[in-house]
Amino acid sequence: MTNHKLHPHRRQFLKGIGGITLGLPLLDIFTRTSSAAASTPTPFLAFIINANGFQQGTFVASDGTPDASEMFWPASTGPLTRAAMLEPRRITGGEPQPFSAQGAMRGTSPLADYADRLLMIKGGIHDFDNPFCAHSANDAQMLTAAKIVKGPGHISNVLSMGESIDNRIARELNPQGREPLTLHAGQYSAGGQEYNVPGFISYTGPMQQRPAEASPLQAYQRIVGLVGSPTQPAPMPGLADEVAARRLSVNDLLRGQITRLLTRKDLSADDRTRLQQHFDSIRELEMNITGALTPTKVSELQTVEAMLHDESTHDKIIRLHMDVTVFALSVDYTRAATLKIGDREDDHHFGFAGNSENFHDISHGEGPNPFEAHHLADMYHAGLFKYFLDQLSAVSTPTGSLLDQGSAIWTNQQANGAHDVSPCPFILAGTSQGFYKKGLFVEIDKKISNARMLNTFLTGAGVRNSDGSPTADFGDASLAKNVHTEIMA
Amino acid sequence: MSALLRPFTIVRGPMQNGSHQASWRLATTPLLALLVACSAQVGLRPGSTRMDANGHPVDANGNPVDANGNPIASATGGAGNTNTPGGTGGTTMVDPVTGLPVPVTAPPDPTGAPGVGFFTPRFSRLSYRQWVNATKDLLMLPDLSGLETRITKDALANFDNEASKLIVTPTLRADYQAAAEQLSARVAGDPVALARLIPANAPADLAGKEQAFITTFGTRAYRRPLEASELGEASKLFEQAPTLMPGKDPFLGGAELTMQFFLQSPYYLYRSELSTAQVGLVIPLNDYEVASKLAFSLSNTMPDDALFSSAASGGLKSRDVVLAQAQRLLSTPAAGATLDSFHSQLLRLGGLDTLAKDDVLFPGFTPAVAASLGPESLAFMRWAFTEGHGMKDVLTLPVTFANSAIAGVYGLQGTFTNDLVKVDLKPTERAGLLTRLGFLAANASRTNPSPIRRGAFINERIFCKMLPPPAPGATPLPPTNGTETSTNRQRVEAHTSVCGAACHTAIINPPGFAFENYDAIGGYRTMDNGSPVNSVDSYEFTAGMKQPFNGPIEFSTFAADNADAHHCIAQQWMSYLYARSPAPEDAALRAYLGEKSKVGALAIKDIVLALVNHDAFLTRIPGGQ
Repeated sequence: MTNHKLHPHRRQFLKGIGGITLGLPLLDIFTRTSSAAASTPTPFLAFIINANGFQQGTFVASDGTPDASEMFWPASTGPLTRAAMLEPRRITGGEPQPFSAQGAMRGTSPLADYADRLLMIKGGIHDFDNPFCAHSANDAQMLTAAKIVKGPGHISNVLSMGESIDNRIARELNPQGREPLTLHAGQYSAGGQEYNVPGFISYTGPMQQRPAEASPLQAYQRIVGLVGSPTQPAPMPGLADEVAARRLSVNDLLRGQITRLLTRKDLSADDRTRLQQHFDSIRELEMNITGALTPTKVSELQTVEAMLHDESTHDKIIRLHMDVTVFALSVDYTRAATLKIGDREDDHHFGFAGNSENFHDISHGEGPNPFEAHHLADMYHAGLFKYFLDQLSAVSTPTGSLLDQGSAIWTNQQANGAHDVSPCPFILAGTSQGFYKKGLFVEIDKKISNARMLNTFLTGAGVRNSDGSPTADFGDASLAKNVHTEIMA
Repeated sequence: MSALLRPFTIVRGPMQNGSHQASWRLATTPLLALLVACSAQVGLRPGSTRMDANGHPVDANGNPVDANGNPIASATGGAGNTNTPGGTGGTTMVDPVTGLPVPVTAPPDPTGAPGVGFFTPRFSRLSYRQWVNATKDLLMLPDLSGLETRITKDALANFDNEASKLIVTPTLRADYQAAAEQLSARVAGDPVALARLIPANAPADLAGKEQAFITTFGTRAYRRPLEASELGEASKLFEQAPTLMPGKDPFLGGAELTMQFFLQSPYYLYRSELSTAQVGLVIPLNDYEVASKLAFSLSNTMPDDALFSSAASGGLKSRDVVLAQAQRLLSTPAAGATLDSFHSQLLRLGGLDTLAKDDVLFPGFTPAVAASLGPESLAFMRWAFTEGHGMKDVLTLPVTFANSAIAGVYGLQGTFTNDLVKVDLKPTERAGLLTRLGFLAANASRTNPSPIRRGAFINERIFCKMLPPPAPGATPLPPTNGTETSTNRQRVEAHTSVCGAACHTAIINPPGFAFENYDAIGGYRTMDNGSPVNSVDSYEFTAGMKQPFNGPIEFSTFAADNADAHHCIAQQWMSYLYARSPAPEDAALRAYLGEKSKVGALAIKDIVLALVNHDAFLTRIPGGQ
């Protein structure tokens, strides 16, 4: 594990405290909309999101025994311990046997090292019927708790009628105009068609999807504001000053042009909105920092750039996205981040017992012993989430590890391969400065609205009412939105 | 000029106010009369002289006027009663061709409240394709050094140029900034490349050369002459080069700086419509706005020299010149690529090159076959378009383009190379677009055709019918395991009879079943799993009238004779050329073009030319939506 030690405060990192990096004059033009004082550590929320569901059981027998398809959760609710998380699952002689010894564990077992810092939540529901493509419909509502509608064209084009939680956090807590970090590791780019689309989970507003960034290199470069090709080195501090000065001069003219256009009385509201978005985006870009990931890591980013949607680089892309996310959170670039693994559905191929199977097919019961195969895919993804937690834990801050400042949530677009919308799985790590309970596995009512969960997560991330009370306005108007106190400390 | 369009050339009458607000005189044909009548029906230009279906002059409200456009008193009242600027009225008229009610343009509220009429976005951000093409053309570069792959693509559900959906996010803004900086540095650092952007007659002194460069480059970047204030601010930036680009030659540094600025300017990144001179109820676009709109609509890039020249001379106020320029553009390679882009999006051809089929059942479906599926359909559609074929031909002609990879799937004999060449297909087996491999293979699983996907595609993309969402609890068709004894159709019927039967039985499945004669890769077949293929069914080509059909050839023939297919292609082109979603006020124009297409009087190319030479393209309503 690499230990990325940071100094006093994440925001101060940007300002060059400790000689780590160079702060540019332009940084001072930013104003935070957060009410958080400069000296207060800033919570964050990062989602790692899978597709195709987890291998959860769908029923519990009258004697309390879960059905044989339950392979994901620890054996029982209550306090989490490392030993409990490593307890092998119950396998009877009449059931298909695991592909390997590893498969005899539970889907969440790879996270056992974090048992005392986890809050596992089983329950809740995606509230709106999804008579469309189930994967797209769940993508659309999982972070929005908003009604869904079918968009034009293909059946898989399902749109949310509300903004997503990452957008809300960014809108309220990020520097003005700065978007949440929205990443994607899958086979398809945003320009795909029909079923071959990445799956959109981030919404800037009703029916407005935010395309995710497939390239960890480009995501990184945007954060640090580098100028240059993938092979061109980052500007040296002195050069960066010159770049910033030139940008400021150019941007002054651009701002003037758009400002004059916006003063015209004969523009439609739609034209005006789009111009205003453009104007805001100019301000957003007026930052530049240098230094960040190690040269080795940057080299890895460059290496995979030409194979962003290749199955052979899937694992590497995911881990690099996680590295970039940790960097973005560590320097307070954003307070919200999402990483979607897979696409609208996850068609990644996994090799099990000599077979190479499409994960989506597996989730629908195809191939030999599909439950076991799905289970191993879950364990693989749990291992990836552990990698993310390892990186967050490795960053030191004055008040503990970066993981302790905010929270990371591993979840899935749907409950299981049958497209069930309940129970939703939330594996939460990091207490967001003591906001959440920890070391606990809770099973909550399957009917609890996703809006309640998202309002709770919003509050944990620092989005509060002006009087400091919990947020209770996120999601569709028809849903209950009070925070779920059972998971709060 | 298309042979089909030639007899219908629009002749423009004397100019009024130097704009499109000219009186019209009839060419000689019924088509023009109908075109004009159609324009009159949508009520865009009250006060102008138009002809009704009988050739009598009317204003945009259909009220009779004299030869000078003055109202003639009648029982229905004179012109300008309800649709004069500042008024609040509006009425409902009936399209003479379709009998459909047509909303007449209501005058915009002087306060800027929304009006009803042909809305056109004032700021249409360049689509990804348009940005790539225009940037290459502006900088006169053969390529963008792969930089285009780093520009964020848009996630659009419909066509890629829908203005209301194209925004500049901070992420895209970062990409534009990086691109502007890198490309400007590349050009400024390459004497040959930079020389191409400097007028040959530019003065040698720094100040004169600076002005010549800014004026020329800025005009091409903004696609219109620079205003004096714009020239001034660009010059000021240019002259900061010694400070902002220390150590660089002042001219090179200034050129690099100003190129950075122009490439990020909203006047470059958006196609804007900012003219304000109102004539009647509408604002005609000025010459430069028309030039840009034609160029981006038909060739996905900035105006070329001929269009700039025409705009500079004021020539684009003439409909004849607009038509001639449109026809010229359509013959350019850029327009060919734009055609391909439109068809690829319309027919959802993207990603076919990665299509995979069951190796055992279809050992001949090689990567080369998959890679040929999209190009085949595009070649067929481009040929049909350029050769002046109509939608009827597109749906019925037994012609395609084949190479060595796909010739075998069609059962063609002879020698083929990697190049696609035009071939005739068996008319008993193939008829038009819906019997082409791209559509058939894309709408199939690895093992079997998918009547559901084929049927949905035909309803949505060929007939423009909006399908309701699947019934709650609908599940995918279970995969086959090789032991079934039933046919593919029987399995689909059994599955859809349980859930969503109302929709599937009448609407989705029949068009799909019509093409059961084609397997999962598009090969022709008469047997399915040991039983004869059943491609007999019935379908409501016309609402309320079930039409029995027997097989794909007959279905395609009925589809070609069906009004919906013709209205649909008109609507799809309208959406693409106008860069917006369908709107209620499109109804009359769509219906008119659709009906003319249906009777064989308009080729698809003619539909395109009519759309870009129409008020809906060349004018806008004041205010905005």
